[in-house]
Amino acid sequence: MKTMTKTALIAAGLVASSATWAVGTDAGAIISNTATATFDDPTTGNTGTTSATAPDITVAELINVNVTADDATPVSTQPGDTDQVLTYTVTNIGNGTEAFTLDATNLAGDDIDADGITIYADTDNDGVFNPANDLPVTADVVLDADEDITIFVVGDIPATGVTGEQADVELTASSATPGVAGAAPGTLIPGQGTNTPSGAVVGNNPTDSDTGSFVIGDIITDATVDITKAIESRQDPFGGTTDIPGTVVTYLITVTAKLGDVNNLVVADTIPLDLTYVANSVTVDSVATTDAADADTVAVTGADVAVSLGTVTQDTTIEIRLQATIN
Amino acid sequence: MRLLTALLFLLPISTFAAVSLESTPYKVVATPQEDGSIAEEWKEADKIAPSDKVGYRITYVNTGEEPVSGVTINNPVPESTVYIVNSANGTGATISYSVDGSQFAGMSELKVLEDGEVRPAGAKDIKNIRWVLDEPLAPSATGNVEFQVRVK
Repeated sequence: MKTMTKTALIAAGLVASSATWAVGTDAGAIISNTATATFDDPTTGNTGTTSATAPDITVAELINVNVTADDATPVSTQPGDTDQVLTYTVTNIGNGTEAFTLDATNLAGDDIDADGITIYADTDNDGVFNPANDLPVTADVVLDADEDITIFVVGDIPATGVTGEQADVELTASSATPGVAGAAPGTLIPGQGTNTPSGAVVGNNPTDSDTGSFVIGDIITDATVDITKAIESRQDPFGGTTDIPGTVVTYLITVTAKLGDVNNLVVADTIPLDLTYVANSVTVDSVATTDAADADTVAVTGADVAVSLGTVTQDTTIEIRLQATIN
Repeated sequence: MRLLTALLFLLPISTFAAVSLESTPYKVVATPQEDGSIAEEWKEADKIAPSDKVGYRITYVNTGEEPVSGVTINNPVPESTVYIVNSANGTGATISYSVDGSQFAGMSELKVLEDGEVRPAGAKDIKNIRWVLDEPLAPSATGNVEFQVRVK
């Protein structure tokens, strides 16, 4: 016996079965066991056989849950930002279908609290919070064994926050099965559980929580200007819209001040060589102007158009139109 | 007389078996003792959940009137469980294991082929446990063997 070396082939399936360890055997699964004995039967001289089957064991539901905050670093925000999002994953690491109660709270001991905290499910399952599709969580979340769900905790950042201040928000998932709250691991909850006649067993983590954080990033004070230019319309000499010599092209330039007020804003545009500016065609917010450097905002010199808008307040958009003829 | 012979043939064959078995499951629980140590106690097999330990005790008895030799008990590791290394025991029995249900050897001699490489067998590879009684079993003699598994 000692010199024997046995080698046997193991099917890949045996190895793959270890993947079920994370959750364990399904609640309600039956474990049966049979022992068999062989012996030299003294009465017949042949090999006798007998067997015994142990009473079946029905695997009880083990209640366990895991909560993980998915944001690797604090989510950067600005004071006064609304609907800021922290992302969590809640996983049923028990072995049976279970309902979990979710709760999100501002932790004490940090700098600021997020306002108006609301828990949303990733209803459209795209991993990104989308207020149009993702619904608030208003009831217990029911998860099958090994199932997970992405949860968004959405809140508003106080306008009084300053750079570097942090708001810690904890998401807690707790088994909703009656009797589990406060029970020690290993406690049997009779009459509860999935597919388990004996009841559900409280695992080591019938409730779990994790913390995500908002942080107020470097506060952006530099205003910027968004500017776009597009051809709004064309009119060719024959009443059509083709680009041929003589066609009059109307350009629309849109200017918006962002993140603050902008002073001394001047928009400059140069008419391309194969176009000729149409005299006195510039309008500012649909008000006609003259090309001369005079009281109005517009001054045109040859092909160079300058519009002096002066102070433009935050989020104000100004539309400038001008026309040129194709040579 | 002819009728009696016919009746005898109709009786189940197990009536003539010289060895009978009984298998009982227990929940194996680590329990603190009075002296502060922790010992495993075999308790009633209820509320068994994943990662719990289950112990099976198999009792054998010679129900015949003559000694029986070659008594070999074979127990496949139950589905949804993993054998706990070194948990099999049995007084007066030689224990061997199998990873395929047909070839048996000591734990350290078993090897498995996985992903093209041969490696020593581990607990999760064990599919069968076998006890071979070293001595013939006398009439009315009884004993037991046992092993433990962990519920996946």
